[in-house]
Amino acid sequence: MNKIIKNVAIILVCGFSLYLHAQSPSTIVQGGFCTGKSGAPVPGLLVSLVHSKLGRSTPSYTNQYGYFRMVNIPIHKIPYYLEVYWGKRLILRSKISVQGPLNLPMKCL
Amino acid sequence: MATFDYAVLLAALAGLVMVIGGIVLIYKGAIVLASTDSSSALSIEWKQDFRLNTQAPGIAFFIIGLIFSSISIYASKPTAIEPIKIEGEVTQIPELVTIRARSSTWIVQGGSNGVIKGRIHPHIEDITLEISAPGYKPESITFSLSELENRTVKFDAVNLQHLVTAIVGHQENIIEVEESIQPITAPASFGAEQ
Repeated sequence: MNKIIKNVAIILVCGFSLYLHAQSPSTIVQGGFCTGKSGAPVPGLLVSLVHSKLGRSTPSYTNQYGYFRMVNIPIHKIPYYLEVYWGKRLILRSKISVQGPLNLPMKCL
Repeated sequence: MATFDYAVLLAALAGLVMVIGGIVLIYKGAIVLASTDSSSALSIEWKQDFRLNTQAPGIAFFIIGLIFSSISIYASKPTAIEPIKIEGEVTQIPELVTIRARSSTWIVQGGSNGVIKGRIHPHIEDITLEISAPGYKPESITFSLSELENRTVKFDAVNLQHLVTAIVGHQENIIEVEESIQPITAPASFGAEQ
């Protein structure tokens, strides 16, 4: 009986360790967008990260200063695609590598 | 999973273990379901409302297991949350308008030594609508939930300030995808906006 309890305890400890290991570290991604003509900040743009394995992020919207900030982005060795939409129209797609906090420079479109 | 979810799962597992364990014990002959005489019958009584009397005490394993399972099923039942309706008008905006609703911010005060310990009660007191459209200055409107009629957020015509004219996307700004990715309409699976 003691052996059974011991085995169950080992399985539970191993399972919990695997669960903790599966929680990958996350970070922040922030940046901003401006117009190519005047350099004015662009508010209301939909910014989204999409990953071939992880899926799509919760969308973020640029504020009146053209900045967006996304948190809880999993660090992953495979790069993300950063997509920016004007309404439903895709205006930018670039590849970014998220290995830690990422502060993208203001990009004029 | 929250602590409560683990508790529900453990209760369900405990119920299952008790039922399976009871069956195993019956199979091995450690307990029997044979009737005893009425003087040694198992009797469970709760006030004047509930009374259970059995002459086969081994059945108690199944009953206790069933109670555990039933409680966990009852506790995991999703609670009905009354929805909040939103009605309003955003005028003179030819672009796609997005309205996001968020509730109050709950603050936990930390000590000067950096240790934070606290408890929040996440009940909604007010709701803030964030209205945005590409090229327009975003607007925020806050409503107190206690002042709403029929749990409906109503706002009059909102006119956003136009800041930037439409950006013409250039093809060189859009790289080709090398693998299959989810469309923009796909539900979010990670990350949060701040």
